Amino acid sequence: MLVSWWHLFLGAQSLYRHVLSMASVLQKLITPLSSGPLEPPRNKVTVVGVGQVGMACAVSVLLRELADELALVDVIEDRLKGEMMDLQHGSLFLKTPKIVSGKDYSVTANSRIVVVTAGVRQQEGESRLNLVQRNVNIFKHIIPQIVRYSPDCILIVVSNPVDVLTYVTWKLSGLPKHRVIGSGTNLDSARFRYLMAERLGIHPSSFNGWILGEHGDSSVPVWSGTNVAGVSLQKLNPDIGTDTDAENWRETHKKVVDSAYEVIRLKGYTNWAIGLSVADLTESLMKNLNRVHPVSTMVKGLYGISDEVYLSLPCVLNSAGVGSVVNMSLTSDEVSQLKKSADMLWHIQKDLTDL
Amino acid sequence: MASTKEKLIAHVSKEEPAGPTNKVTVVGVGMVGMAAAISVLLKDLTDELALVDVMEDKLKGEAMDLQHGSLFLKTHKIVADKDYSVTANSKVVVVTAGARQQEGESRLNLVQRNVNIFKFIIPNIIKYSPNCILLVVSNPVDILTYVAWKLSGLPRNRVIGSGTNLDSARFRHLMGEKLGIHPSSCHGWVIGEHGDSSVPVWSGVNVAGVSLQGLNPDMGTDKDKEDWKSVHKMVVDSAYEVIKLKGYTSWAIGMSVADLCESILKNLHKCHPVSTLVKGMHGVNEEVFLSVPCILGNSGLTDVVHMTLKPEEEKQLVKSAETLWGVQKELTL
Repeated sequence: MLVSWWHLFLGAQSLYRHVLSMASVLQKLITPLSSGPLEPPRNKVTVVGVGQVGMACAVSVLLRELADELALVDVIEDRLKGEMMDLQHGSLFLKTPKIVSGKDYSVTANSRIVVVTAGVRQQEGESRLNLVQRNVNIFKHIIPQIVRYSPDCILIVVSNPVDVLTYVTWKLSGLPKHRVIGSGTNLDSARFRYLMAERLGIHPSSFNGWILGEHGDSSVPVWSGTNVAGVSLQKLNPDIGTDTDAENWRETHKKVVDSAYEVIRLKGYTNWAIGLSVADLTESLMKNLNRVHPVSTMVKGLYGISDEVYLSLPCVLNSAGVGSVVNMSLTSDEVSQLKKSADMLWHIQKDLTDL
Repeated sequence: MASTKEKLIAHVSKEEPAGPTNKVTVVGVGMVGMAAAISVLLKDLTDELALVDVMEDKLKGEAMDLQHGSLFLKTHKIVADKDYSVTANSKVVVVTAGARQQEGESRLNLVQRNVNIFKFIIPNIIKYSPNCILLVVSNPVDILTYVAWKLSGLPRNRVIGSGTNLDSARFRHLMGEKLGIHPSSCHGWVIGEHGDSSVPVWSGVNVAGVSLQGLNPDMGTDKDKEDWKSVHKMVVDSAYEVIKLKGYTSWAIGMSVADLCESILKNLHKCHPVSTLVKGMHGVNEEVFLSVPCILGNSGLTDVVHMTLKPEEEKQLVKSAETLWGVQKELTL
């Protein structure tokens, strides 16, 4: 009797051991508690275009821990896969558990923010406006696909000429205007604040100054708003920004305009600064911060502008996109510069077909 | 007539402005160097960043591009020059400079070319930052860390090779993918030579202290049904794969360098698999550098964790050491 119980016990034990050895390491290690379909991402960012700018945006978003999922899209499949793998290999050091990529836009589904960097870039000496038609054709393919998979997203357009292409994106997407933003003069203002702060020996974040209007050659530095700790520089130096200014502060704005050309001449392209500035915008949008940024928004009806154009104005950014626009007090000269930019942009836009 | 600046700001401090407290220099502004630079900047590790290279235009362009992002960063000073005087008083110097293998070029020839480059770089670094910690990234990293050590005259605790820090990060990423767990909760150490003959220490692979090899005694062998050995193979192949796809690797190595810099600059006493002098350990008799788990702090690499290795694993380390010494003894330093 005891012997047969003993044999039964041995048999059961051997069966148990056999079953245990069949289970994988994963099954032995982990007991799942919650089952059911995987949760969709809550803070997904997509970057379209894995060139130098796109990857700088991607790395900045990752290192700032802004997203729980990052998707990359491009047409060059090898490069796309390589960039994705390179980022994934750094996942030990990051807090973004899912990094995906694909030529097919289905990988971008459920994005909260989509950064569009795709397109051809400025050649040495080429103005941003020359790029227009080349990039419009690319956008006709990209934008509808983005919206198809992320109908509730906010689009940040970076590709140049950014103001025209943000307009194009808005038209092609069918999204309400507050959800289509151009990176605009966010970078120009950052450069301006850096250069002005250098002259004064302070950190750029302690120097307040806004560059508005067209991103590029005809951007408008609002000298009346420049201040440190609320002290207006223009009150200290009424000639600031004019030709008669002995200290030639105007030169600083000129350096901002020339910056991109200079960096392109030296290293072939710009990427780090624009990447950091896009991450800054992404943070305000993702975290619903209501911070004010100079970004490109639809300005018809403001400052006497009657055309549907995008220009940079101080915008309050939150999780809905552009929540509101700050009405800056501009001089009549500054207003006329904005209007002139608007006219020039409309002149280009009106000839674009099939939008 | 007071200038705008004078009207705005009154200088009140009687002290000389203090120098940088945790300056980082990156030598070489190629893809790896710049990835390391942006990672260090975005992790707010330093109050001054210096860049050095021989290509002056590219160097200036890269520095300007980073400076234009200053508004978004907490690194007040970003400088760059061909002249090493800009690197003065660095706490950590990251060396990414060097030649890449030409087609058909022998490894020994590549090493000698890079030795010649290092003969110029290393003494210049030491001249301006005699108390720095050198972090060598250029490949073949184990040999070049030895070269940097010899050329610098620094004690062995101040010369560190990035070694298998990246290999281990890749291993933990792949392990994490297999288990559905974040890499930081997956523990696994890849040691030895950075590259093809790195050694995955299967006995140490664990999650929450649970040894995976304890659950699966075949792990790492050819008879393992779950083929964990291929995880290590993928680690070895991944660099070649990424290079084939995008031309080079940058982001992962950049982030791993920033991870090491953080431990050093913040005196964390964290343990990392990095390349150090292993003569006298694990049966190695030659003066070679291989990766083992090391404690990193502000005086550099202060301690080595002695791993309990299987005889086969130690054999692999000894074999790597012999191969490395075979190359090193032919070098003219």
